[in-house]
Amino acid sequence: MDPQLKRGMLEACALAVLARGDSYGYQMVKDVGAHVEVSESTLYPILRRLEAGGYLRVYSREHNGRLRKYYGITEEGRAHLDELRGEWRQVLDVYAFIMEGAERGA
Amino acid sequence: MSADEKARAMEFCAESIDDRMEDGMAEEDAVAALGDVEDVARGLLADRPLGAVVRERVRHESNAGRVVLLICASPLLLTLFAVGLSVYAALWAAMVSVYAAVASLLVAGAGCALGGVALMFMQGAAPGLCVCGAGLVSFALGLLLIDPVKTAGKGLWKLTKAFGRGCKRLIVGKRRNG
Repeated sequence: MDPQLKRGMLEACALAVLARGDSYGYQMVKDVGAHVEVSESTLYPILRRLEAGGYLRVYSREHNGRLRKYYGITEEGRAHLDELRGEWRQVLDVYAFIMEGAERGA
Repeated sequence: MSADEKARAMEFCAESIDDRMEDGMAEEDAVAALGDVEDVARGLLADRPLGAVVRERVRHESNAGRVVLLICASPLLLTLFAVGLSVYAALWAAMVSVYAAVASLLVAGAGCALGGVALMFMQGAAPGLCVCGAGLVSFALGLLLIDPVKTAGKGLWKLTKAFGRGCKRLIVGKRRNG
């Protein structure tokens, strides 16, 4: 998948995962990884961008004698996720147009 | 990338390694599963505005070239730099004019004094003495102005350096962040 397209998709995936409940890095990699290939090195910059945009809040909680960082979605994050979901129809239209061109060329 | 940003990224990776090992993965496999560390740096840097990236670099390794790069990357700084440069050009042009005026007084004064002496033999004592006297007055005035003009030049040079340092502090910040 094109890296830029993947970045956009992963942003939506991360918000969708967190909309179901707070989570941490590795768990998110597992949840998102079931649908799109992702690793921590790809996910972390996306989480930082979402955090900087105010879409996520970050807090630490003790787990097995160590601190683990958890991510939770904010109201702004939910609104942003709704926007991304609303754009899905447009994305499908664009892909329909692209596929139409491919079918004509074939 | 700032030290704080690096530390946060390292912390995220360390937590994931611990989580993967708790999940039964060997440490080497857990580290390998994180992916390329350069992807983290590339991803973080790609999200930062150009001005912030350049400012960060200037803070770490400040030198003239990087300050120029920062100025060129910011339209506001570029405008301020142009205004500052214009003011300095005007000040130094005025200073050069004053130096030229003093040099003219000295040269013209010496020329008139010598010419006056020659005039005394050619056209009589009165006009010769007048020209010679005027020349000596001009020369003396030039000599008197040398010290004040030199002091003003030194002051302007110090002001230039202080202004340059002030600009650098404004752009780079008072202290370097590790």
